[in-house]
Amino acid sequence: MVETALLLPPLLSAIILGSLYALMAMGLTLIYSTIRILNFAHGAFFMAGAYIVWWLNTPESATRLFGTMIPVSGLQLPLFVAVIPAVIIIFGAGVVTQKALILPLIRKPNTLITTLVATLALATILESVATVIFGGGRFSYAQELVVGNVRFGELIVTYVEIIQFAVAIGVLAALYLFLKKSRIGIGMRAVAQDLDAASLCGINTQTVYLLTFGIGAALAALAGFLLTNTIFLSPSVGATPLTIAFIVVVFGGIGSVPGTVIASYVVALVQQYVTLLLDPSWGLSFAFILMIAVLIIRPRGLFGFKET
Amino acid sequence: MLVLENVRSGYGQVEVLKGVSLEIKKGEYAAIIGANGHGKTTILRTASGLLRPSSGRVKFDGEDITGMPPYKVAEKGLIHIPEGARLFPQMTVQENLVAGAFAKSSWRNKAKNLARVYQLFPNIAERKNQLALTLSGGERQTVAIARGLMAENVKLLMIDEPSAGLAPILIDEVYEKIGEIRKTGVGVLVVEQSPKRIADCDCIYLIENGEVRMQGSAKEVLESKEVMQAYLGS
Repeated sequence: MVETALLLPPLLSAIILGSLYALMAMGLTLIYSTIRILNFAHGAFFMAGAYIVWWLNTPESATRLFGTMIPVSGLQLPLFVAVIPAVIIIFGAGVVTQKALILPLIRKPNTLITTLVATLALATILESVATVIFGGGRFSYAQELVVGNVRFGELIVTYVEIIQFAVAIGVLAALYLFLKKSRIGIGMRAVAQDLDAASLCGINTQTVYLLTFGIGAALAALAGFLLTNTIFLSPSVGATPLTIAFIVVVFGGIGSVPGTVIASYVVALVQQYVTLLLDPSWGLSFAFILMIAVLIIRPRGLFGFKET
Repeated sequence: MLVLENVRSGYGQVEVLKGVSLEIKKGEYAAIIGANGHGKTTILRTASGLLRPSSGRVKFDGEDITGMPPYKVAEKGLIHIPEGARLFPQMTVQENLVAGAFAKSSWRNKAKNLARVYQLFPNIAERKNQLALTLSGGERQTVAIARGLMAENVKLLMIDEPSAGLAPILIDEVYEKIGEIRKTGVGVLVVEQSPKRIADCDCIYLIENGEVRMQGSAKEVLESKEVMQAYLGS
């Protein structure tokens, strides 16, 4: 039998991880509910965001490019500064992806499949590019984001974890207000709920698509930066977060914002307790099993609405 | 105000409109009637830019708007209220109205226009924080019309079957509202199935097989043998 004191740290980890999952999955949810496509490049944006931060931050004087050493930026930006251009660059990459890759495929036959394959291809290309530039090895940032921790009795929480949690929650809250109150946010929800009615309201649906994809990609990049403060960075680092994000999105009810948040915490809890009680390698599998069980009973997921 | 010149339009390979010409004058109250499946809705969808005509021209307020995307057409003041209201179901009544003010020029004045439409339709003001999916059919139709009026500078409101699926008493209410809108100088074009609702129109077009079968004053058209035939089946 596991002691009660041992049950608390996984709960704390689940709250922190769940917030990061929600941040990651929210990008997928926004893109699916508005543009009606599944973005398999979401994990690649996660990875690319983290690499850009690493590159802007690294003090190394040279890096490998196409097998030869070249000087790097030498900018040595602090991590919390480097994240800003990284998120903006990935936002731009998202806009370009929508314009160049997705737009030519939507409103044509088999959009869901063609865009799925196209984004999967993009993910593979970005991973290859990262491997060519940075090599296949594992990186971590040159410094810790912040050093130190706080203790609550037996529990130890690092400042990094507090920042991960606070930034994820802060950004999700800001996103909620953006969707609820801002002109573009209302436009995004309108497009998600009825495309034709939205365009008759004077909403430029193409612009809304571009911004939605940009915002979705930027959320992945931010999640990538936050999470890689505690895990190693490698070209395939986005694969697991992508898988988790898909579990979360389907489990919560595809396209549902509250469903995405709640499912993120449920998946993180399951993962953490399975890790504690069974074995770390089972965590993700149990999250999948739980998702499938829920889908058998409720195919729309926890909070999915009926298609109208 | 709105002119269609020999417009051909449809869906993919299926041509629905086979050369439709019509003209709605400024501030006019006009109606399009005809049996189902003859192209009434297609006329509105082509005018508002949801469909691109395969040939012919669409002009609005002296400007050629053929092939213009719907959001630009709406910004010009030509507002299309689609059949079945098509509200955003997961948004509140007020959010639906605010969405109708999306164009930048409308967004600036959205508070003023909200007050105006709530004054025009007090019954929906009471429901402003309710989700659209909880409304009754009549309320939905009213919100859809109000959402159209949230645009700045509305010149012509095209309403597709405002009476569809409504009880007769609610249809009377909707037409009463349309009367009030007309008093503000906005032109109205309705697509209607039942001839008796539109007896006070300035001008009526009878559509048959994707063509204008007849046009004229309400009296001329409604009392014609063509309308008798269209509705009673020759």
